[in-house]
Amino acid sequence: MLDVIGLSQGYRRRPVIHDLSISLGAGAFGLLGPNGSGKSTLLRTLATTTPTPRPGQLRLFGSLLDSRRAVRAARRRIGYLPQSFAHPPGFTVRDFVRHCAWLREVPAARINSAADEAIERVELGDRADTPLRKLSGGMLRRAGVAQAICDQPDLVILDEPANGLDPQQRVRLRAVLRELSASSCVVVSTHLVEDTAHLCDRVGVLYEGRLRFDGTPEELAAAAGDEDAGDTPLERGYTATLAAPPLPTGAPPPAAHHRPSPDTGPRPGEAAPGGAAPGGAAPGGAAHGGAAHGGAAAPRDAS
Amino acid sequence: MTGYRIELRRSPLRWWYLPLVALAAAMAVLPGAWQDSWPRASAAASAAALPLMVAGCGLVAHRAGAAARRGADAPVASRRGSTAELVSLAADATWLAAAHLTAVAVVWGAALAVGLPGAPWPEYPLFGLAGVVLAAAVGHVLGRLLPTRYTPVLATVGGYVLFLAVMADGSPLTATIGYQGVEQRLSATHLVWRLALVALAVTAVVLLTGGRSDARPSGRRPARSMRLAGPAAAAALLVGVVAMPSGPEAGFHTARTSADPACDGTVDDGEVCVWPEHAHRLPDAVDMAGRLAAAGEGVIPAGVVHREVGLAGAGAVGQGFLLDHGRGDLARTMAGGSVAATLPVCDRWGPQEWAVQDALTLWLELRALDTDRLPNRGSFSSGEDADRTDEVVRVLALPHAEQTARARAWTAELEAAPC
Repeated sequence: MLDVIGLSQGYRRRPVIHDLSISLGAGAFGLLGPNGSGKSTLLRTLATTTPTPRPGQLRLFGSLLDSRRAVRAARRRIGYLPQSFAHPPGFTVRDFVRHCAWLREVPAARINSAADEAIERVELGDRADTPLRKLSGGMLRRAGVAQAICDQPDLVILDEPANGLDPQQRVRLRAVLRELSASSCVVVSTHLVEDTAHLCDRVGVLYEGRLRFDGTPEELAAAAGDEDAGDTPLERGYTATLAAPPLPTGAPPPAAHHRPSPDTGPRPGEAAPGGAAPGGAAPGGAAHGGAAHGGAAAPRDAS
Repeated sequence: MTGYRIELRRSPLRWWYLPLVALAAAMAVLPGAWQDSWPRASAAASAAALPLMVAGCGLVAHRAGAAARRGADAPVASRRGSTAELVSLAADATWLAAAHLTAVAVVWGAALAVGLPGAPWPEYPLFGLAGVVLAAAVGHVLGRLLPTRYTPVLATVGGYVLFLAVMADGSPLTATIGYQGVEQRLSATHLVWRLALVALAVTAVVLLTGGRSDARPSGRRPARSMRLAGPAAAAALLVGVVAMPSGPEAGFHTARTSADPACDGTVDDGEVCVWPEHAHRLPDAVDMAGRLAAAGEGVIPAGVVHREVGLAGAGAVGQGFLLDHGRGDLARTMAGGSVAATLPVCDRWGPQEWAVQDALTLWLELRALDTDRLPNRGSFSSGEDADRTDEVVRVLALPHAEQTARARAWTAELEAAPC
């Protein structure tokens, strides 16, 4: 569903991401990393709002984004929540989600129902007609999530979606994203290491623009040493991987912990983007820092 | 339509709708006399657009730059940026247009209630609407390209300077297309020019702002032709504004052809004809014709035909009486017509002869108005040496028979003048 191949990305002359490769299929992928590590830049690139410097560095839904038409076709299948998103304050939640769906060219006949469904999923149904300017920070974040998951896109990219959410809302958001990840590729960046354990099949740690870890939450926890900082095994594992050398670059590691995508082609009724090579998730293992990774299932939140 | 409906519902300009209606209606009615005739009421409709052009430029600039000012990322969009920009502009322009049309409806509704003869002239509100859309498009581009907090203020001030202050006298961008006279109507050429400018402005919106959020393939910069298209459209708009005819000779108006005039006979077997839109004021004109006939009895022959300016048979361009500027002007122009009917003017007359004709006309006018107070006509004079205004004042103080004799002497003087 998503292949990043040797991506280097930056702004003007400041490099942010260095020669990064990764491949994702359906499932939830958690992206961890300290501030300034390049998480948002990577997510912007995946969302196609920042084009890759060279063609061939990003393949979405099996297609190279080598034409305007291909990018537009890909965007129809992407839901994206930026770290800070432009919300017209006068828009109600319902109109905001509908408008974003319209921008994403969700078929007109589906927009209203899809928007209402997304709003219900983030539990903003009773605030659907409230202007965004009157929402609290957490509600605003949920409205942003609603626009990103509206019409269940094949690729959902959420940049710190849990910001401003209380613990109960975080648990519910995780449940929504888990549901989505059954058929979609959900990429979530977060600073909340524990969230990844309950949500993600696979976790990546990005540091200084390079991927330091790519594996399951259990593997991340297993990477912890006694001397690493943190209160939980996951946090210690995270700390340990920050000091690890970058993963080997080159061909993207296969989507080891992601389920094979049921849908790597266009949706029924949609044109196939041009120049596509069939892709998608492949079983296998990802390596980091020389450590071997198995395909163990991620732990799940029982709530 | 989904996007348009949402933008329309959520455009901040909706909060400005009522103030803008009040502003536009005030601009239309404050100059006064808009309820005198449909031509005036129609011209008031184009004037109503002026404040909307100024305010709309700033408001749309504010709204267009709001997202960028917040510095946040836009949601991912597969729809073409040009479509999104056009929909946003269309929603804003719809609110401005609604304010304009409401103000026009108020003015025209009042005109209808008065029962003015004739019908409204629809090209005037269309002209105003075109100006509103043009200003909105300019504001949209400014807001998108310069999303600073000062841009809306600068756009408003710039709009004021552009549309009202600097170019008000001769600019085709302004609403100097107000009321000129019942015999003139907005030129179709000028209307087409303005509509073309609107088309160029909207094209500039699409090309300058539409591509900014468009999907861009990996590793590619926008094509050079696409990068140049926006500035080219903006340049074409500027060239269009500059190339547009302007100034007094611009032909903003065109003379109307005579329609079916409203006519009535006078007591001395003469006739008075006015434009159909002035049919309700025909009695005033007939009354004045009768007064002139009575005032000039023995000097001016009976049965003079008076036609309002611009009507067939009114004479050369500019001849014919005027109903638009009050009773005094009606008396003056109609008296001039009476004198011209008695003593056709001669191009070879010198200052003395013109002064005699002026004196005869003034005498007739003041007698018809039953006054000896001279009208205020600014600095107009037949010339210091030839002016006979004082003589007219003295004659008006004489008994009727002596006045008539003096007027006949003036007539004889003119008849004797070589031509």
